[in-house]
Amino acid sequence: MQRALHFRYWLQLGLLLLAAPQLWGQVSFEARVSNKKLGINERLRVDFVMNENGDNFTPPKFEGFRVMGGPNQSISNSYVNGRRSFSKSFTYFLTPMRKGQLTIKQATVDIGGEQYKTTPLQVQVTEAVAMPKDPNSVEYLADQNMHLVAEVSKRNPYLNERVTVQYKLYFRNPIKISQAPREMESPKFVDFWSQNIKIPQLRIEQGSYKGEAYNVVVWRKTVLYPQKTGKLVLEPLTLNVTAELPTNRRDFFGDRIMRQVNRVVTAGELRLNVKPLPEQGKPDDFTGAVGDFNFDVLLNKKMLKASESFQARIKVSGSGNLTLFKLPKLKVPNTLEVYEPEHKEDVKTSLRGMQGTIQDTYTIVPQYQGKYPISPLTFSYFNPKTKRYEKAVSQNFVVDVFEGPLATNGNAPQSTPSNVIPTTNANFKFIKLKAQWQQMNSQPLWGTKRFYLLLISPIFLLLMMIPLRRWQQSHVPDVQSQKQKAASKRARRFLARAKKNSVNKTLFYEALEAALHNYLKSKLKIETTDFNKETIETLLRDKGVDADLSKGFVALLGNCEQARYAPSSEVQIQNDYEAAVRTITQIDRKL
Amino acid sequence: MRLNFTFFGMLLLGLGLYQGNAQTAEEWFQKGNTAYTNAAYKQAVEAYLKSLEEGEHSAALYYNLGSVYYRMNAVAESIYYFEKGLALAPDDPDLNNNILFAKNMTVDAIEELPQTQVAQFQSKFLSVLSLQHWTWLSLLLFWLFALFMTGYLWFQSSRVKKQLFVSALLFGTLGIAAYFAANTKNSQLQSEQYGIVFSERIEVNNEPNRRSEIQFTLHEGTKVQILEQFQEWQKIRIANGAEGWVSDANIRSL
Repeated sequence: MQRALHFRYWLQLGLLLLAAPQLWGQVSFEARVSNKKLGINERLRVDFVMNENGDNFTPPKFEGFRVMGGPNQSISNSYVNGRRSFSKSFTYFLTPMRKGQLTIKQATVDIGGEQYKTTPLQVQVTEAVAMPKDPNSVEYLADQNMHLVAEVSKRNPYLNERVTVQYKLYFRNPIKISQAPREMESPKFVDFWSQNIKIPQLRIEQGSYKGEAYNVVVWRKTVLYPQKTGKLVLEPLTLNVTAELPTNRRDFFGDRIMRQVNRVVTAGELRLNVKPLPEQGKPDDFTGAVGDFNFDVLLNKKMLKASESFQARIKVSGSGNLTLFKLPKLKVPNTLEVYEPEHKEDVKTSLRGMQGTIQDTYTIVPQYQGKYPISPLTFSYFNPKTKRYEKAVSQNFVVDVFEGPLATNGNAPQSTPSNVIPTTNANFKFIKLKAQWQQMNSQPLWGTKRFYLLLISPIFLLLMMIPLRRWQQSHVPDVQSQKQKAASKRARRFLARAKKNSVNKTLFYEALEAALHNYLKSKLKIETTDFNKETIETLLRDKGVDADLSKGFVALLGNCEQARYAPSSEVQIQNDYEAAVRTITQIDRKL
Repeated sequence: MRLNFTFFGMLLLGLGLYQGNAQTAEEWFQKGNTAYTNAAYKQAVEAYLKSLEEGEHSAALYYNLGSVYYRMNAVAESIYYFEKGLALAPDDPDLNNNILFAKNMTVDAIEELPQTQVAQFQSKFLSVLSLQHWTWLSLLLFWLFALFMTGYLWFQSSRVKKQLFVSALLFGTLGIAAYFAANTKNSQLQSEQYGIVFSERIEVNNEPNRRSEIQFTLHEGTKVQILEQFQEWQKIRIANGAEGWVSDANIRSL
């Protein structure tokens, strides 16, 4: 019986050994993860399992992960119903370092002279998640007694209103923290002006969380000024805390053995609802200052000589978004030379926000004498406490510049100093003591009916004059004058005829004589019958004609008589004609 | 003679009554002067303004008003009254001096457009006489022309006729010249309406609506030419030739 059993045993072993190459042929080497999807605050367990003993195991570089534990090697070798099952595994505990899709790359191992590789694994890392609760675990205990809290001063601030965020780590017994935590994920304050307030040394203080006594460490203080309205999200802050927890085991001296646990704590996402500044009552010159401010404009001199300089300081002090708005610009008369202002900030940022003074200092040089008003500046800001816009108005200054050149007229370019009249007694003149008064609202004569009437009436008068004159001439009978006119006409006709007949001597002189006679008839009113030289001369003298002229006239008549009988040349004829014309015109002028 | 006396008496009575009821412009003026010398500028302004209410004005009164306002650091008022004074007496040296001081106080620096020689001569020539005087001068010359023409037609003597005709032609030409001078002056006065900005700050837009671009800003005391009106908008031009539209601006026309 015994031998039979033995035989069966050996037979079976033999069969198994015979079959073994087929079984052993199925070598597997694979990577397994505890979870394909996990939060950034969770841990991942990765097992590389092989069913045949291998050498030269090379783990992948766990990129994006931090190796918290491992490699832990375990071998199991078991026989079930005479069947051996072997497995060897390398276990790693990992925590992800960033969110997103992470890959665990291939691990390699040599089994039986051949190299085997695992397939790469994809792991999805999401936001920090609430820890699964397991009341018995140390982790659960740690999580229950340790909280990271973000305290926000205001959940719905105005645009540019100060908001402070304090990250506080609360923990209580039995947790002890001896190492400073490491910041794994820092919030980036997009859409905010932010400043961290330095904490020189972390201090543990007593505090309370949800009504229970806790130790508290202020990890981080940040001052924020929202720069955008609407719902803004602050990313969570994540800390890796190494906490010490007591275990149930005791050491040789009876003290509890402490165990270190790495926990990732996170302050959940913060949402702020930023309100826009009210439109109602918004001043025109509002430049975005939010806070509580004092506004001042200061001059260092109010009386000075021209070409000296003085300084104007525009100063805003108080608390608020001091560095985030523009100071109002100085407004001065154009004849003052103003240089670019010097900007100075003296601002300290604390939990109460930015506090201090900002100022612009202008250097101003007056060129001419006179008075220069510095018009008051207004500075408006929104006060979130009163929820109202407030307006600060500076004083009104007048700078008195004495001694110096007087400003020239606007026509002259001011850049050329040669145009400046350097008179010493050019001053603002005293008032006048005597006035010449004029009617103020005297209607202008121009364009009125009266004006046009006055303008046209003389022309009418003139037009009236012409028919009047004609009427007068036609109705006053004046035979003599008519006779005269006829004679004058005849004289001219004879003269013209004489000119025509200047070739024929006899005809010329006849015509000339006739012309002279007719002329005398018309001018001296004498009849042809009583023509003799004496009467002509006396008559002409009576009329105021020169003796020479009358003698010339009589001589001309004599010439005409002589020429009929005596020979005379062409030249003579021409001379006589010209003399006749000259004499007639001369006498004509006198009469 | 008797009639003359009664007339004179009535005139005196009228004057007496007039003075009994209200003070004359001259009296208010003198009151203002006294207040000014005592540095009581507010009283001086009141007195001068009362003086203006009497319906008479003078360059001296405007000059004094401008000076008082200058003493009170009121830029716009000061320039306004100096300009009014200059309209009555363009060549007054004191006015031209003090307005420079007042203009010093204004914020805006505007470089004036240069004038051509012809334009300068024209404005000088036209400013010799006021519109009223130009009108009267042209009328007088036309009447003289008519008178001499009548004489020319009436008289017989050719010598006298000639002299009369030449004179008539001369007066006629001068009359036409005076008429055109008055005409130009009148159209200038009609079209060129000036004003002084009284608002502390006004924005000048490109077009007469709120959407348009702001071209430049003007400040208190700047002299502008008012070109036209469209609804509540006014088109203005400043000394450097720039034009634009303003609304709700306090511009007091001269």
